[in-house]
Amino acid sequence: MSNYYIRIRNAELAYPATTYNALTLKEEVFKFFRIGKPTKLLYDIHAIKNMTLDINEGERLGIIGRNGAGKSSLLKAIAGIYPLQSGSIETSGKIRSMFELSLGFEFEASGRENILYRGLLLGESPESVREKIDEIIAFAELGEFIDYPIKAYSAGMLVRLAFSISTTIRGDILLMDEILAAGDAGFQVKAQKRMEELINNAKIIVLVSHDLAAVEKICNRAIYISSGEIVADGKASDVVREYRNSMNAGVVK
Amino acid sequence: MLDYLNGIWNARHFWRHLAQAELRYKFRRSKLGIIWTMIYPLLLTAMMAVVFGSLFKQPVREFAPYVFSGLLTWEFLVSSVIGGCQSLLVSEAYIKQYKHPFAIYPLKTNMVNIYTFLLALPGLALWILFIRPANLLVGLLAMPLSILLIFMLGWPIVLVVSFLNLKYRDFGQVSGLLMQLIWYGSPVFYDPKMLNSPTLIAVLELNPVTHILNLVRAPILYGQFPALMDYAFVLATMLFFYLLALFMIWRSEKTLIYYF
Repeated sequence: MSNYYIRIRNAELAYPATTYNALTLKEEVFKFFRIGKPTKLLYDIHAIKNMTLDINEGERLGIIGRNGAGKSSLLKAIAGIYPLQSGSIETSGKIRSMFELSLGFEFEASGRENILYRGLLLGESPESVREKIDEIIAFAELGEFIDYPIKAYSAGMLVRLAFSISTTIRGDILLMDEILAAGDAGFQVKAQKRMEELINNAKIIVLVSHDLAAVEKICNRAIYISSGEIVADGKASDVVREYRNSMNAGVVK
Repeated sequence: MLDYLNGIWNARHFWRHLAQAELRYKFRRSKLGIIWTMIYPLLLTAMMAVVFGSLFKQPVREFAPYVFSGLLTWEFLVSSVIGGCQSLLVSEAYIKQYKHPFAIYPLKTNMVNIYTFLLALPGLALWILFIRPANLLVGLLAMPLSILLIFMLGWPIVLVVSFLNLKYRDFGQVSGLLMQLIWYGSPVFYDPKMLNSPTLIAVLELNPVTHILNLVRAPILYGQFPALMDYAFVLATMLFFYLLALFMIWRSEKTLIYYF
């Protein structure tokens, strides 16, 4: 029995249409009294359908599929951000999700303060963030800017800071939406090295990517998702080949 | 339920620091900083005490602290009900990155609100020190509990309005109107005794805001502990909002993420 795992059982995830249909109290009241023109009702978006999947320690799983197939939804469901309608997702191990990195900064606060907030958001204690803060600052190469408010940062600096924080605070299960590349040419080399290190140290990796070559290189297993269902599951190279074939043939369910 | 509370506890460093960040930002923006938060209600009080004092023929010296204590507490309620609407919306980026219980964001907003409330209290204490120094002792004894109750009351209120505002984006306007209405029906800037109408006084007795105001006024203005009735009303209001908050968490916390 391995210590780290992700167990998905009969997972169903749908974006409820109510969120698009009635957005204001006014509309809700009007609807109740049947006044105003009836709006066209939208339907639930069924992103993941009856999915069962086991991911075990040592596996680096690539998730591939066309846009809107449910890849990112699956990733966010594993992270616990999107709730399931039914079924279950059980995880063991500390999850580190790497998506929407540049979001969630306090723009009035300094870079140093933001490192603390982000660390705490990710479930670290103030002490453990303080231990890592010098490493984060050094890696982000922000120099004296670290004490400036974030709003004074260039886009590149912000990405570097986000990248540095997110890769310094480690976890057992790494969830990635696309391989991250950040900053200018010089930083990208560093960033790539850091990513490799991260990938080598994580117990489980789940990577969503359109970069098939990267999936083949990094992952030892892949699943191909189409309209919320697993179409193929197996060795990364086999699944990538199957996906390429179906794309070429134009057969998409 | 226990898991949920546990989640709030585990995230304690996070919401505590967020509250600090918001406060620091709030005070950093203006040159007068914290002083401004203390002066603003004083100026507002001076204005209202003069206007309504002459309108209702009340001595300013006595009427000013009455209005001041009312405004302080009222401002706290307004920032809970109207300001609180934004509590979850402004935390979207955090919510989409990491799963913490949603209740921590209203808690953070509530901490900022109570801190602003506390900052204005010394001004009131100073005033009382001059006109009624004897009240200070009872004030010191009774106020901690009053502050605790007001803090405990603020959290579920912010939670309820922020949940509602996320689902119905026009709830903010509605809550603004609602508070305007309550404002007229609450003895914030007038004393029920001035009204000379037993019916109105009876109606005011049923308004929980009257009793929330009494939590602060009884000890500071009159040197008395708040009446049992005041505590009872406040506790009942708290119970109502906690139950409503629990219901909303149970009912919609799971789908709320889709409303951003």
